[in-house]
Amino acid sequence: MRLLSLVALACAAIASAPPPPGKPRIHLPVWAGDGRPLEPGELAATLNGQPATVLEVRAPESELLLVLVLDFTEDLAWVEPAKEALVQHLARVPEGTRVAVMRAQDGLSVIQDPTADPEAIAAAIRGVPVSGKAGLLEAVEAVARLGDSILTRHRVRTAVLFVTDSDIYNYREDFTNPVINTSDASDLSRRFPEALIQDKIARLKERLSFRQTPLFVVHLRYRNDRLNEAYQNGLKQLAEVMAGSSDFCRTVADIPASVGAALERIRSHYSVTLEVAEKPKKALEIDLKVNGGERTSLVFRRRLAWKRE
Amino acid sequence: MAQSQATETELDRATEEFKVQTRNLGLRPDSPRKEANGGPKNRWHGRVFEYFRNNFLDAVPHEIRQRGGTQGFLRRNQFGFNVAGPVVIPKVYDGGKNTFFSLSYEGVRERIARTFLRTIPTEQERTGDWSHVVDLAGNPLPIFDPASTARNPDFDPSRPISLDNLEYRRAQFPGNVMPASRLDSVAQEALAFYPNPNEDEGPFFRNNYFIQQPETNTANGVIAKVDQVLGDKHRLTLDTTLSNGTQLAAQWFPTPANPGPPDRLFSTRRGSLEHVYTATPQIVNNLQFVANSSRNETVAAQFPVYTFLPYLSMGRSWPVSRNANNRYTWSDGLSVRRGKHALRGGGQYGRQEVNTFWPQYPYGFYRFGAGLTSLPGIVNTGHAFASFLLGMAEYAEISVVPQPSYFRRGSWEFWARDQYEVRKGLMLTVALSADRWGTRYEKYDRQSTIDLEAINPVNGRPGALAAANRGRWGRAFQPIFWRFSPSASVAWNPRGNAKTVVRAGYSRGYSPLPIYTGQWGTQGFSGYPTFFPSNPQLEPAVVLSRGLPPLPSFPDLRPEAANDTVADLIDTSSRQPLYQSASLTLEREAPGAVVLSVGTTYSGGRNLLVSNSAADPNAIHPDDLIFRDLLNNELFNRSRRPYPQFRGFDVYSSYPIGRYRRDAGFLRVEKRASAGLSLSAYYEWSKQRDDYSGPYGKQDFFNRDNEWSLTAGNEPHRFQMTYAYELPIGANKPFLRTTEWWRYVVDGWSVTGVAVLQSGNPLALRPQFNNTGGAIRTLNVNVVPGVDPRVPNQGPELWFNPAAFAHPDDFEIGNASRTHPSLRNPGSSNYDLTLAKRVSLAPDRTLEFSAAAFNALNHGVWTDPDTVIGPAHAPNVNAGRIIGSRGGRVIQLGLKVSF
Repeated sequence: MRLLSLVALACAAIASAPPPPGKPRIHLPVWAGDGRPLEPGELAATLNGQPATVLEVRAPESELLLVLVLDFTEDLAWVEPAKEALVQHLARVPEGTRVAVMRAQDGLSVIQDPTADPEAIAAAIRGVPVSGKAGLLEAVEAVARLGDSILTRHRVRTAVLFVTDSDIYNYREDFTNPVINTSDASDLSRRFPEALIQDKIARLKERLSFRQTPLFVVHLRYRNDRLNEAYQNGLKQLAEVMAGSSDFCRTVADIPASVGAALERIRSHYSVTLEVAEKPKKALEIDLKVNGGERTSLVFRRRLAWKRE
Repeated sequence: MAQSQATETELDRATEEFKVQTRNLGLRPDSPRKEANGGPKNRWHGRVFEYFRNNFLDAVPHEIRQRGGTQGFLRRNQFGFNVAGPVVIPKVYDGGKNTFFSLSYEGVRERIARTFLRTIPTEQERTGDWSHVVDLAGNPLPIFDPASTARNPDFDPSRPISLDNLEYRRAQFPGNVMPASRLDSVAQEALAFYPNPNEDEGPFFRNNYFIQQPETNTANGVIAKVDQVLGDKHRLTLDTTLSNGTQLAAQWFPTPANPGPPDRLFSTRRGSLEHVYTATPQIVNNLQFVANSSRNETVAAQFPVYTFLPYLSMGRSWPVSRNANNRYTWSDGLSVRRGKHALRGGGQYGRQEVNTFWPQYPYGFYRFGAGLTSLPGIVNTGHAFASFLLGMAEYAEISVVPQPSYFRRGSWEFWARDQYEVRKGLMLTVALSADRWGTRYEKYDRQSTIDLEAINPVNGRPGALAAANRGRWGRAFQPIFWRFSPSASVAWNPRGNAKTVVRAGYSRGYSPLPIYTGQWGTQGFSGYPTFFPSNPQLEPAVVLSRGLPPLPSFPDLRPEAANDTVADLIDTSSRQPLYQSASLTLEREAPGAVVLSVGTTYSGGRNLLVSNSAADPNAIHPDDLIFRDLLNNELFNRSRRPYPQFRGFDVYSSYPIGRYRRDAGFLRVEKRASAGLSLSAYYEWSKQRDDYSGPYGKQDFFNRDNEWSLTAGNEPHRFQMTYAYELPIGANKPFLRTTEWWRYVVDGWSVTGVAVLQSGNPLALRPQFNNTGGAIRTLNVNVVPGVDPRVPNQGPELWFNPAAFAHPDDFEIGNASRTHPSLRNPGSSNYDLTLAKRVSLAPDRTLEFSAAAFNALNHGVWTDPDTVIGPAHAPNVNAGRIIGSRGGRVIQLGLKVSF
């Protein structure tokens, strides 16, 4: 049986061959600021100031593959409302939407393959324990790569949503730089304790800046101690660099609304595919406009790094 | 329909892609091992770093520049590494996601100059020539010959002692010069180890010894962690820390008489083992064992301690000591979710061990006072150093400590918490803990106190030495109770508006009685025989050249064994420090990722542990000052004390009578990162009062309300801002985007900073002389009615108006408060800044250079003003003045490779 499934996966891998060679493409998540539907023909784009061809616009009603990554390590009191909020919001998965569930704590792993079955999704979410070591920072790059591989090879919108209550002190890797030599009274190196977190975030941002899958983060606990503040600032920056958004809940009561808002933002995004005329030598400056100029502003990422192969 | 089928197909294919990719990434149970494996090269992360400091980078500190000094020596290297990842032993074991390790090492090599400014005797004074010596007002200071003391037949006891009505007459040394033949031989030998002045900061020969000596620090430490996942439900984490350090202290004197800190050896060991059991997603149990051990040892030369204020003393206390503090904690916590209740409960057992060998004065302590060279009863005559030259100590003590002490304590704690979502937008949290804090006992029952109810056989008064586990006492002297500590908090979104949160909280709890390092409370098993005269103005306790009288032997557990000493007193009541606090905060989320918080807090406490300066159960009542000079007589003085068989009590920062209250309001602005900038600013106004704090101590031990004043360390205004800014240049940034070679120059710049501004703490004024016959340990000054203590152009020349205060008369207490209600020491401001440049070497490899400037603006902080108020006939000319500033910019360079 296992052999059969391996063969099936191998066949699927062959089936999911990359798109035919041609000019490079980029996929942008776009939100219509005025809420009115966005028609493919009314978009005009420029890349680094040069006109670019809009190849496709996938509307909010189109197919969506959502990768939901859970990273629950701290407190049941905050996590359980988040689980219930996720279950409730995903109870009626819109047609053409599939949700995959992964967990990041103690290492990234798949809990539920993409499915439209609300019960399977609910069971996967509810089954994630609240324990272990936080894993968001280790998982985010792999999830982004996974998202891009789907987004760039298939005509489905793809998004990643992290829901976490992680504390920077609870990572396996050391980001807090604890004092080792207590007798060293002249140690100034820890006066800026957030340096390691900032360094990690900077490296992640650099590696994620060319990823195209939008990333969303809902952190269940707003923390304002210095290290966690740097950590949550970093999460916010990671989401922004990947054209998504982040939300940090300051009370348990915030959680359902934050989860709902993130899911709605994911659901409502357009995925716009642009053709890149030639491989750029530097980051792409992107501009999108609605022809005719009657529409209010679009929300989209303005910059996309170009990975030099 | 056809379109629908096509949609399904695309999603199906995307789903299959998901499966393939997650399998290849090793994210599925069926992922091939070889994919998950790979060498450690790509799966281990960490850093190698070096932080470097050198005096050529730093500004000359203000306190050195002001006296024309040059930069002190500094060489500091702090280096190390961290590596973390799955445990991989090639061809043997691959931990994958299940076994993870982290290993950090840090070493320090430092040689740094330490600076101090002190006052020592002039060369003439050392030879007994006091002809040039003046008091703080600049008037000649007369030195009298104790050998010439004679009772004054004309003395009228009904009038206060004064120059016109002396009880004793005493002749001034001719020309104010002590004959060489009168100088004590032991004192003369000791002076060979005492340096000469090397500075003349003044005024009047004060601040004449500037010390700039190197201190050498070496430290090596390791933190190692292993995290093991065992199936779906179990996880083990092992964490260990080891550190060894050596501090070769700056030598204040290059001789065995060095009064500076001793050399120290440090070691710390920590280990913890944690087991997490996830029974179900809603039930998690956490079991943990933690062991901590810290040891330190001091090593110094053998030399007696000679003190003769205001000059720098010779020798040092605790020259040789060994201490170990071990803590063991077993704890278990269970978290359960039921409906809208999140329940947590747990228990903990902790054990503390303090092993200490801590003789304070193993080579003797000799305190010299002005009294023996003064005109008895007349202040501003005589000098402590003159008494030293004659070898006449007013007090002597020696520590006889035959063995270390091994203190122990165990404690239990149980707690429960319920976090209940009452309704949408309203969360209530209630908690209750029950603590049973054990109290200190000694492994071999070598512990003692003064039983204040036992009758002393010598004088028939209450108060006698009592030893642990003997008589009516158990192994510990303090009773043990279960204490219950409740707390509650509310988080509420008014009208369901998630952007606004109101938080309120209250908590009340006890704190345990700590075990301090030191052998306090072992009197009888060890001892410190003390020597004192019947009148410190008339006769010495000991004369140096004659040595100490024969010492008793120990153990000596007779009830009277502690008589005539400052006896160790362990409070045996059930009082335990109790704290409570309440807070109310309003948070509002504003546009631009900004959160504003405004709030107020209250905290207070009672039965707080205070030290000897704030607790004296054997104090003389201030009303007894009417006996005036009779109090100089040791026997009479002691007769006025509640326990006259003792000279005093040593409560060792463990007497539970302190009270405090703190009220504060704050405003916080937090701006989460946008456009590369994040910042957090916090301003607090606070007012804290207590009845125990302060640099000098309490005046009135009998009326604590009289001592209720501003806390000595209270800084009413404090502003702190931290910020981080990524410069908007380089790849993926708005400006200077490039892929050319110079991208390595423009990419990756960031600035991080911390700014702290705070007002000064309250001034604590004190009179220059304390002529109360030893009845009042700390005197306050008097307030001069109608004189404004503030000055119009406040500055270092005059920080406050000393004319607003007066020296209390002899045998009178001052009427000012312990700390001034409005005058404050200079405030401070500090700006620390780090500039970092990150260079990407490879996809997951960066080089970071950082330059951190501490006190980046090289801002000097004024030293505190001189708060000594002299008598009207000899005012302190320096009162209210500030003699300088301190601080200076320090630069640290850092280099870090992250992988």
